[in-house]
Amino acid sequence: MGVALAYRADVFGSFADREVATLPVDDDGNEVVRARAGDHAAFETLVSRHEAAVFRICQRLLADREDALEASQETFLRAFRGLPRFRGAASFRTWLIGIAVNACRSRLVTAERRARRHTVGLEAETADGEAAVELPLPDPAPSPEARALGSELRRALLGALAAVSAEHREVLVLREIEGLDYAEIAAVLGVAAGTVKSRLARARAALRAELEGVWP
Amino acid sequence: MTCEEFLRLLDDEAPMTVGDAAAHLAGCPACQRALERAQEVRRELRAMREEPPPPFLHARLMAHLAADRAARRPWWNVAVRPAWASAAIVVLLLVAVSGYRLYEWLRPSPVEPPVQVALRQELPPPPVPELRASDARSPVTPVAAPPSLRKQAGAAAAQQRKAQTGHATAPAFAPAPTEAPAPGVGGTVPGAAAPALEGAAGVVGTSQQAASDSTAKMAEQVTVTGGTASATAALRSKSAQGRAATSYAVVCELRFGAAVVARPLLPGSATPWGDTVWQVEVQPDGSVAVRDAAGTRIARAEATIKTVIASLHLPAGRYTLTRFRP
Repeated sequence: MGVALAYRADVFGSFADREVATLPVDDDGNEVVRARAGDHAAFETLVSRHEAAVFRICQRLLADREDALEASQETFLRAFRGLPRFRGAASFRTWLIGIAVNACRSRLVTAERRARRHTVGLEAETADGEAAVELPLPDPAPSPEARALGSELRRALLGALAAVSAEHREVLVLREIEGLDYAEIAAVLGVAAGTVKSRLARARAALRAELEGVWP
Repeated sequence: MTCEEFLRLLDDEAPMTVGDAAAHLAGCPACQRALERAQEVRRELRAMREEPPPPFLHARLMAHLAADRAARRPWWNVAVRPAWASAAIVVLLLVAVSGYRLYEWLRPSPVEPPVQVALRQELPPPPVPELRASDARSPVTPVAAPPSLRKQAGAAAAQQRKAQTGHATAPAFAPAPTEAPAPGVGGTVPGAAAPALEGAAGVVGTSQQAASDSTAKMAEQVTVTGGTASATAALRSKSAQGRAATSYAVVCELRFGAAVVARPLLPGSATPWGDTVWQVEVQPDGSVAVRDAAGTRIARAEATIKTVIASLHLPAGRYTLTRFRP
């Protein structure tokens, strides 16, 4: 094939790539059935399997670590309570991520209400220390260890992710970080696959625009 | 292809025709730069996936779930949890014990714990041979002595009460010495009393018979005068006044090492008080030396103790003497 297709695969990864990175859907079936029957150990297995992804999504969507922890707790709690209603239309993972996104959305409403009281530009975090002082809001920066590890691009990217709209952030996180395919994202967000596609394109453009100023 | 189109394709993941994209890219440094940036961003976002979660995440999530489960547990389920059940048992026990204590404390006339007391001079001393014989056969165990003593003490005290009411001539008090020993001692002893042995020791010898014979009458007297407690109290108050009539004897425990050798009955004056311990040294010739814990010799007790333990035929050695506490 041609040069451009090779670029495409390099930039976005192939479909097959993503599948390797995500868990096969059927893997959770056993535990889901047992957990639904009241087996706490089976549910703990499910928690172990998905906690990292759930926390990551929450942290990226909410930017605040403590908030993300609470949202993760809420996610698994809702999942545990909602197990009887889980019919397996989507995979357990997709269902769980959907719960996580919803938990984050409701938290964001509260956070935005607070944010209206303390309007702080996202640049404030990356700018000099003075602005940071008046920042009682969720810290859009990653955890200290991530900050230590992170490159300049990482910091810029986290700032840009926090700056784009929640809707764009959702699709970017699910697609670019977690590697969900369009169908999964559509199931998680409850929208059509076509919507996901167009929303993702707009989100990428928005992210690029945000990076323009911060990342030379 | 324009730059705008190229970027849109980049954002869109839309399939690009080889020729178009490659041709534009080759001639457009800006789009080359944009592609490079997109690649870098892509890699960086992917790397975020490798970021490890906090080490405590799992524990925190599970704790949250467990707390929720506990909070949603119905009350009857909570009630039968082992921790709660044992706590409830402890509380019930505490309530029961403290309730009983409170009841005891509030009770109008608390009955004192039985004190092993016997009136000394009211009982004639039995003969030594009789005591020896019974000890050899040991039909009269030391354990048998305390109840009978108690009853007699109560009865005697009751009689003293009577004496108090009409003490000018003390007619009620007079029959006691003759009446009490009559059934037990009088029947078996041929009259030759051993003067060396204290009267108290005689109580051990008289045993059940005397007790059973006089129990009915004494119980009646005790009831009339208000029970054992008041009888004991009367006895004590008299003792405080230094009246000869109130001297009493106490069951003691004679030990050789850890083993209890005997429980002889000794007059109070020849008895270690409270928790003190006396050392009784029996010499090969039968003589006895009594010392307290400090090593001070207690001469006044020696003669009595010697007489009492002579019947036991103890081998020479060191014994300890304490008050017997049932």
